[in-house]
This record gives sequence, C-alpha cells and structure tokens, in this order.
Amino acid sequence: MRLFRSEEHARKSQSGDSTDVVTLEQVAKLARAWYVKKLTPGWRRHTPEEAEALFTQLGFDREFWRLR
Amino acid sequence: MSQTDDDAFDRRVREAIGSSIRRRGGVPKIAQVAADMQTDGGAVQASFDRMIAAHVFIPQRDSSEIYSYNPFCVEKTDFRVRSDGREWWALCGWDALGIPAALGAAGRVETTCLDCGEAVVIDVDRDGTATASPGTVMSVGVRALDFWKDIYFT
Repeated sequence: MRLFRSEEHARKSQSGDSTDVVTLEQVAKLARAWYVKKLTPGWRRHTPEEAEALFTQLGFDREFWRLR
Repeated sequence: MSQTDDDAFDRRVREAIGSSIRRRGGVPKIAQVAADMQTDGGAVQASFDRMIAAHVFIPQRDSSEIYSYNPFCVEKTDFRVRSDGREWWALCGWDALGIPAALGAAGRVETTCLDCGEAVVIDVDRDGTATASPGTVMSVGVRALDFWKDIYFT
C-alpha cells in the first residue's frame, strides 16, 4: 500500500490487475476510522462484517474490498 | 483458563500494549508487557500467540514478539510519521495515516513515490484531514480478502 505523487505514477507501477488506486482523501478517512480507537481501552479487531460495513460506508464498495 | 478468562486477559494485554505505546513511544516486548501487568511472561506470550492466530497484530518472523501493532511498526520503514512529539514508523500508507488518528494528534507522514522517488509529504490535522500535493494517491496491490495471505508482502 504505497503512496504515489499521482494516479499516473501509481498506474505505471501497477504489477497486475488486482490493484485499486484510492485518493488521499479516501485513505485518510479510512485510516482515521480504522485506527482512531486502537489505543483506547476495550479496542478489539474489527470483525469481517464490521470491516466490510466500514469500507462500504466510506465508498470502498468495489469487489476488490469484499472480505467474504 | 476458560475461553472467557482468555478473552478478558487478552483484553488487558491489549490495553497494556496501547498504554505502553502512548507512554513510551514504542511497541513493547512480551517481557515489558508482563512487567507492566505484574504477571507471568508465559501467560503474556500465550496471549500474544492467541492474538497472532486471530490476526490482531503482525508478529516478527519466527517469534511471538510484535513486528507491527498496526499502525505502529517496531522498526524503521519507508513511512516515517512525526506525531505527538515523537517519531514513528508504519508499514504502509494506510497505517502511516492511521498513526496520528490512533494518537489523537496531528502529524506529518514522510515517504517517497514508488514510481519517481520524489518525496511525498502529508500533513494530517487532529481531525484527520490530510493535505499533500494535489493528486497524491495510494495504490493497494492486494485484494482485501487476501490481505493476510502474506501479510509481510501486503
């Protein structure tokens, strides 16, 4: 999960068709939602259902992001 | 111990890990967690092993010690994050942006574009808003379903 200066740069480095390119805004929202509670008491790993719901809520609704 | 006892103990271990990261600025080893909890190292190692099996964290190769309690990696990587007055390291762009979020602080992510090698610098506000050169993107090369098939590659 590397960062690139542009989508063109990302596509040039693409090694296969199992790749998705997401905007900085999208990944920032995902990172915040995924990790904001990580160091808080009671944190536990997301279940696949919770993770998929989060992906969908944030617009990661393509087949690429399915977990089941 | 019963499953319920294990779950409760594992929760205490996770809280000790989180507390240690906040207080010391780094991911603890089994011995440190055991000392912090004033408990037996073998019990903590058993807890680590259960969490490894459940994909709670990424272990070091051939060890039960933590390699990455995501988003916090134990060693220097291509993703440096400055946040909350400290320097941190992450395994990927997703995790790098997650460090300020986990700390509840603003931060700066520093890495390089894998294509051209130019610097990629991202400033993250306390509320999670990220600012960088226009057009900055993240490429994900493994389908979500396969993230843990080879987590060291992912």
